[in-house]
Amino acid sequence: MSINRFSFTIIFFTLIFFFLVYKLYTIQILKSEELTFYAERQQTRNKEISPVRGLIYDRNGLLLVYNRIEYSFSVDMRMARKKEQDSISKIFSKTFNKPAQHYLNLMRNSKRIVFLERNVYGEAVSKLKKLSLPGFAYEEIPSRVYQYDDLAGHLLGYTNSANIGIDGVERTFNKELAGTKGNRKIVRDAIGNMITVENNEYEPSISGNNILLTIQKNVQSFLQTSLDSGLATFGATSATGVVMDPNTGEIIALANVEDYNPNEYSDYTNEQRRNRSITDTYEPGSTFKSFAMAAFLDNKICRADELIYGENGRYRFKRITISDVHPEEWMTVKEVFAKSSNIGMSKLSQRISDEDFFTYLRGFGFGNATNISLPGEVNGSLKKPNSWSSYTKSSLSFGYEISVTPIQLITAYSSLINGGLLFEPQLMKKITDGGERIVQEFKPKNIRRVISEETSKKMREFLVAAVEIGSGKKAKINNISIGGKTGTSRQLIDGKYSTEFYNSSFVGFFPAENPSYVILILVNAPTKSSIYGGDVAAPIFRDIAKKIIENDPSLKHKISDPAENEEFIFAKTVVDTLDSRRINVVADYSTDIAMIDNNIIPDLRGRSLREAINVASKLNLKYEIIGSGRIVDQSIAYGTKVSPGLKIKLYAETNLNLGATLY
Amino acid sequence: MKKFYPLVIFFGAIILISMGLYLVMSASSTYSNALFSDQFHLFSSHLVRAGVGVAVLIAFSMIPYRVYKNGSKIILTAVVLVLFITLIVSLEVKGARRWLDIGIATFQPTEFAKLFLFLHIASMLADPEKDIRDFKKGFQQALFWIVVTSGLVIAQPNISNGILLISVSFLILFLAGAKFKHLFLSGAALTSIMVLVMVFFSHSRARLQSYLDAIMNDGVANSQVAQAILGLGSGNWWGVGIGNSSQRNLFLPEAYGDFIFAILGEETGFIGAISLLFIYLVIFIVGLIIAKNAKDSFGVYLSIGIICAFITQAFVNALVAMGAIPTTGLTLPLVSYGGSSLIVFCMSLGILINIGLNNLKETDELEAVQKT
Repeated sequence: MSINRFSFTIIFFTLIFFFLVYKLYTIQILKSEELTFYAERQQTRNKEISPVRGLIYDRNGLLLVYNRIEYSFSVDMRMARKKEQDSISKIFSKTFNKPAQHYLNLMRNSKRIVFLERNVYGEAVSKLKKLSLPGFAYEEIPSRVYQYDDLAGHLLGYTNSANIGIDGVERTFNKELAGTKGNRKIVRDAIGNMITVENNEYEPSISGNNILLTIQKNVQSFLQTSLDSGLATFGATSATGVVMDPNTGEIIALANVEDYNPNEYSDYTNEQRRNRSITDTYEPGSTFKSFAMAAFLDNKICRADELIYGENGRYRFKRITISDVHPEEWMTVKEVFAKSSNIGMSKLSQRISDEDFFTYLRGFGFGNATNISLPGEVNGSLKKPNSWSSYTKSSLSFGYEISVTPIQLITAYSSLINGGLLFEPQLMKKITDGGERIVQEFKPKNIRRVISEETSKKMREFLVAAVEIGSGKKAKINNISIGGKTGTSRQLIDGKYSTEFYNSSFVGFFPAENPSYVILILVNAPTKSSIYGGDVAAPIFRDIAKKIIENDPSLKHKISDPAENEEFIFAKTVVDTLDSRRINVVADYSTDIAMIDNNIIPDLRGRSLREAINVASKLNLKYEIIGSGRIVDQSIAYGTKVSPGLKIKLYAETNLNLGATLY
Repeated sequence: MKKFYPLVIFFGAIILISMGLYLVMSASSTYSNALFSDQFHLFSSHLVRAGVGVAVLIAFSMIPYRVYKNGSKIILTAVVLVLFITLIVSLEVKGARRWLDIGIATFQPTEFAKLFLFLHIASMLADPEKDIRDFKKGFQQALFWIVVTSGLVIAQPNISNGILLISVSFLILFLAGAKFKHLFLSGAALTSIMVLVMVFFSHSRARLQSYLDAIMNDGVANSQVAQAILGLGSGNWWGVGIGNSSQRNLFLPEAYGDFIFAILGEETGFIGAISLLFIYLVIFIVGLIIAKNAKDSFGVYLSIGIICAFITQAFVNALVAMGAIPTTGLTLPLVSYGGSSLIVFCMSLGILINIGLNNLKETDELEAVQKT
């Protein structure tokens, strides 16, 4: 054997060895950093750990919202063989009580990843995640559970599929509720299965904070039930109710019907999910007279017992005619308010300066959002004095030329009756961490004094009178004094006052001497039986108020002895508070209605539009009003026997009108 | 000194088989778990084969190597027949017919062909009636068997093993003193045939094409090589730690087979990878010394054939894992998962040990016989 050839072979392979070492050095040492980066990028995944979202309680610590893990199960058809498909479909069929063929079809119709069940939960379901078959995968989805379904849906809001608050408290306090995401690094294989968790790169998640709301679950429930039945009874489009503690601005309950169930938020329209109490404005009508009257009294432009001439119900003011439902001659200022005289209010409004009037109304918070901690609140509108016409003060005095949200109105009412202090409406009691520690406590937020305590006291008396002798009688409850004011205003549709659709409202409070609850009821476009606040909203108020009283032990001792004749006590109160001059307490339109019997249509000519509509409603007639003001003609002659559902056309005077014919 | 050589080969082989056990266990765990829900599935069968391999290694080191000399022609003829049968009746795996099912196990006749071709070439070179320097008297016969054997292997198609057979055979002939003219001319002829064949078989054409493309574009040949390089690159000096490979998690296909070197480089780093290559180099050099000391020319050429096949396959495998040459189907000797390859290399090294042991004897039996 040739030594040369032998040496050559050794050298040849040794050279290859050194080439290998050199090549390895370039790959493993010189390019290591870059290659390690790419390798780690494909080998590991950062996996977020969802924090537990904070819980939401009512004011008494009753749990309203909690969490649940839901599962979505999928099969990757590129990996699942026939055998696995069969066993998966069998197990799923057993768990979900669906035919196995259903799951087989789902799988057969897919080429890649197919979801067999989404967002399912329960003990049987969570066992499925232990299935270890090629291609089978599950996803854990943290979800919200709203215990009482549609209870306080508009307040609570909802979270989306990523568990981010989209509406309501869930949205406003999303940051507090959400908590902090954790992180863990997992080593995975090429087809995405987890191999191990890298413990040294584990960051645990931090649970969100819990929230205690000011609402009370029972009251919220009463409110929703009463609004629901009211909506059905009066055939209205929607209704809003708010219950507030006037001394703190705390919201005890707030609801809009129809409401929605946040558990299934996607089944509802935006319209249904909208919190109308803060997003929708309306012209309040007579409920607004309280603020005008408070301004007059506080500004000392009139006395409570001062007599005002009622013009017998028709008053020519500049180029318009203002009319009252109940024609009066002489009324005290208090009677002007209690009987809701547009004429009286209009006359008094001419005494106050534009600036003062504006200052008071601004003071009550009109034209500004209340800053309630809910998304979507609007400002409403209150014109500045420099853009007021010569009619504006008059219109404002009975609640037109202004738009408010229900939340603004009830917040202002609170200040009106609580001694004159305006509070920010409050929804939050406190925020606590997972344990007992209080992160934030919310105190009543006093914004300003609007009127004097004395004026506030007078207003409480005036409002009691409005219930006693005015249109709010249907709000009365035995043994407890109720104060309140009704409102019926035309809806402004496409810039014109509708003759068909009204906002019927009532704002009331109790116990009247030292109110602990103030309630606003607004019914949007009632179409059955009546349109009036006194007929529609006041009974709903009464319904809720009664349940609240029964539910609130602190109110028990404030209720008079049921053995006594409660009517007498109220009558006595009225006499005490009213001017010594006797007034006719029974001046109510219901007397007019008494004469329509046996479905005979009466002579409506000369009557106010409001009366005419009332008659038509009582007879269950559809009506169409042409013009405004007093009725001048009617399409069905008086004395005609009519059947319900018939349509009557009412022709009214056509004079310039600001919608003020209704109170 | 001489007496250590067989021991070096023996312990070298044992070290390599042990490393193979550890590497197959680590590299196949995710694959076994994903496919058989048992992370030791492939390892268990490899463990059995390694046991058989060690037994074979010891057994062949005790069989006097000269017994193969006279029977080599018959054995190779049998191997050629088996290769032929394989072509007709074998199992088709990944588009090639390389496996033969003999009832109790499947095996790759090619692995056996490698040993027995070199055995027969050694036998021919040792035949005093033949002369390798003469084309007609010796070179021609050797060339015949090389062409027949490698031709059948290439036809499977198994181009890389065919090339290995030809290259190692030529290396033996070169060391045996064949004329450059003969080596060069027949080499050129075979090369041109090979090029034609490679163009003919789409399988190898694609591999070659992708390798050429990669060189042109400064990239890597295929995703398997790319993944192997990522594994090696993650290793740095000391590796990610034994049993900590992430590339085995199905990123690197067949991590336990032809690309096991990348897992070694990932887990034990540059130090581990060059250590393994160094063991191969040591076995090679010691093997060559054994060859040089062999007492007869059959022993010399047989040792050369065995040791050249061994080192060539080891280095080619490492070069493939680094993307330095086109992807082949060659295993890492004694380390990769795969029974036929492991057993045949155990046989080969067993024979080499026997040759080394024979060198230790004071007087050579054969010489004694010849002298008488």
